[in-house]
Amino acid sequence: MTAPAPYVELAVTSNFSFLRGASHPHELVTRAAELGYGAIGLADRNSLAGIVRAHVAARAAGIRLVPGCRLVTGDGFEVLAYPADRAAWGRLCRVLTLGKRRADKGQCRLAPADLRGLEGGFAGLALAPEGVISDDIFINNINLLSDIFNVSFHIATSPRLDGCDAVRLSRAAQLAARAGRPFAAVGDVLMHSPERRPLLDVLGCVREKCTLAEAGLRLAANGERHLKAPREMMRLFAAYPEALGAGAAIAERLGFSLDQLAYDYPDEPVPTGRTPDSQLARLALAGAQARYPDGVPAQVRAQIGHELRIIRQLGYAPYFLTVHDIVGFARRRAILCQGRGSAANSAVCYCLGITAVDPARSDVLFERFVSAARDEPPDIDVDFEHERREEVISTFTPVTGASAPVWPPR
Amino acid sequence: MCRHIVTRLARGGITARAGLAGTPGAAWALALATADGNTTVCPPGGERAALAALPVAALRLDPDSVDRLSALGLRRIGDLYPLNDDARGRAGLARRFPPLVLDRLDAALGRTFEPISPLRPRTAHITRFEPAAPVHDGDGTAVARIAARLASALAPMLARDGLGARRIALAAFRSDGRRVRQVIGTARPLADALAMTALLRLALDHHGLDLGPGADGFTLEALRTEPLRRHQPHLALSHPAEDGSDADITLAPLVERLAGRLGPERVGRLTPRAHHLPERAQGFTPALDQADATPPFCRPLAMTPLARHRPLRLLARPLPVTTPNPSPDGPPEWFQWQGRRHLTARAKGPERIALEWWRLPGWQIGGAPAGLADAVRDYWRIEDREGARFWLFRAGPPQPGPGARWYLHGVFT
Repeated sequence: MTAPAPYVELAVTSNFSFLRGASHPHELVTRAAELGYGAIGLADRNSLAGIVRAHVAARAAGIRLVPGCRLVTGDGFEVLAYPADRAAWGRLCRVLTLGKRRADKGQCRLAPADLRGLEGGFAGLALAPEGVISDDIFINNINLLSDIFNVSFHIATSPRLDGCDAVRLSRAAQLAARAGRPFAAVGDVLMHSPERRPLLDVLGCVREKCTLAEAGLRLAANGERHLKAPREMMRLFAAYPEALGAGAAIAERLGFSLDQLAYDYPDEPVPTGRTPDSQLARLALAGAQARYPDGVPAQVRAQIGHELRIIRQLGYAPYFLTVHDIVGFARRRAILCQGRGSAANSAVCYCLGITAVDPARSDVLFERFVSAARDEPPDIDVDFEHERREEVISTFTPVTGASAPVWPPR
Repeated sequence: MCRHIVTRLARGGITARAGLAGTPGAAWALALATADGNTTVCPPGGERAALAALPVAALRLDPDSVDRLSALGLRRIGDLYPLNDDARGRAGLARRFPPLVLDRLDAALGRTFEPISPLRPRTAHITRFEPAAPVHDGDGTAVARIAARLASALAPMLARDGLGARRIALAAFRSDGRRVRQVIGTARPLADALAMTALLRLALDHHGLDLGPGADGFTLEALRTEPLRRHQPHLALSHPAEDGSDADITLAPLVERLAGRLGPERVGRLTPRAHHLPERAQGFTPALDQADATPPFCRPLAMTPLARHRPLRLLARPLPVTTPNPSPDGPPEWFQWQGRRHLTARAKGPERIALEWWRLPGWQIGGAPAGLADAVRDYWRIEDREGARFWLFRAGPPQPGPGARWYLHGVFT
């Protein structure tokens, strides 16, 4: 295998930018690997929806995916934002949620001031404006955002093969010099292969609500916005060698990968000085005393110890505490409830009062319920009296729009 | 009378349905529900009973209200009566539906008054002249004099209404019962008697008016008019010509004269069209057909953004030229055209224009393309050693070897 190309494409739009991109994320990533890219970015328009598919495809293709987002604010300012770490990724998600909440479904409305919420920890590539906003406003925006994009901040532009590339590139380079920022070469890719031009044109017509015959200048003059080979990009930007290496340098400085994300169970409050595991052990043993007033059978005691060990190993204690809370709430309100299904294979569930199958009188097979070999979270089914189910659900459901669940109920 | 109108219209080839009632709303609804060519007459005060069985749509409601009323089972106008007669029902209708519903119902039942604004016929701009004795077409001066006289009456008539004529017809009624006409077009709304006379004279000189046995009546009519644009020649800031005068005004009489002489379809202007392909990006529109000369009559095509880097006029079809094809995607070092060799001094490009793939089978140059990737042209602006500038393109994608085909599509002037 040859060494990865020194050029990394960071301006990539997939079909998760609705009616703008004409290729699936996995098509873009796979094609990038074929063309010899060592890494590729994905930055959809105010969306991260395509990132997971791209990530999976990149793992399969053996190249690195740099996850990011193309932030488009209401005033026409476009910047490719790439988070440097897990925390920055979280802030990016939060800002997008803010923009999507205040707009209609499928839309995202961001004001330039909303980008303050990113706080920092990003690499940014601002796309040189093409007549939409003035150079002065653009430079002003760049300066205002310098502490957000504090990892690196480039001014980027792409070749269009429209006869004006020489002018466009030199203008963008001058603009970058005026703003005191480095200049970056990007492809501003909308499709993985030039053969997607018909689809791209049709999508453009759907977006503009016109037919192909009427579309005229609303469609691109050519099909050049496909993923180009690194060699081709190097030829097009031959006059700006320093701009060509920018993408690779940025990718190098970003440590964030989707692999760092895992499911975070909401914090389950436990009394001070206790961990969820110790709290669960305490409750289970106290429950056992209550279930077996004449003394806990040794076999059951051993089973509880075995189960707590596996629960601790897998980190599932907060989940058992949550279900215990819910069942406890129902009991206090005299709402009938009963755990069922595979949870009946657990002595801990029996002792917590969730299920009613006595482990002393039946053979429990805990591994049918929770197993270290199966990498999936446990599922405790609890039936509630159907007339009063709503009571339980509404108590434990966060009010729509609240930023954190109301937990635990008081 | 109602029946009479329907019959008269039928004779004119128009199928009509008529409704007669005490209110316009009820009459409209009845007409809608009547069979073609028939008439329904509602006795005075009988609107309520007459409308009850008709669908609610007959009240001239918006489709949305009709749908929502039907969804509630209110399909006939009569279904609305119980609600309408009850104060609470009315309040409910007012709350759930746009005010139009109750307004139209009240108007149809005569509870409120609905005025009718009749369409008035547009006043014709026509002047007549009846000579004491039939005019014979001696040397044509008699007709020209009559035309001048009619024009001097027509022009103020137009000017009074703030209109100018774009098409004028001079008609002569011959004593043998035939009518002959001369129609002229103008390049701007015209309400000036002298200019009108000059144009009429030009047309008469070229085409004449065959009066045969003599004519005993003449009319001059403005067939098409447009609002008169008022000019302020010394402050014409919008499209100043080089000498500061308004080019629209100075050019228009020339266009009119040329059109009068060569035929209106031969005098035209290039108009920009929203297409990427150069040959589709401009059209030829007869100058006199322009609606009121907006976009401005002499706006240069070169001002449109697309045409900035293109020659104003293209060759009728691209001409193949011979080149040595030096690099796969660069400009040619030289090319041969009209027996001369042009050496490239400067070149700018490429401007890559993809052909409209949905029209590919009809593509002329080079025959059917092998595929989508081939359906592109790379345009170059090339200046030769003598300073002449050309617009050339290579058909097809960049490729090494001598296979590339080059064409000349225009010359910069």
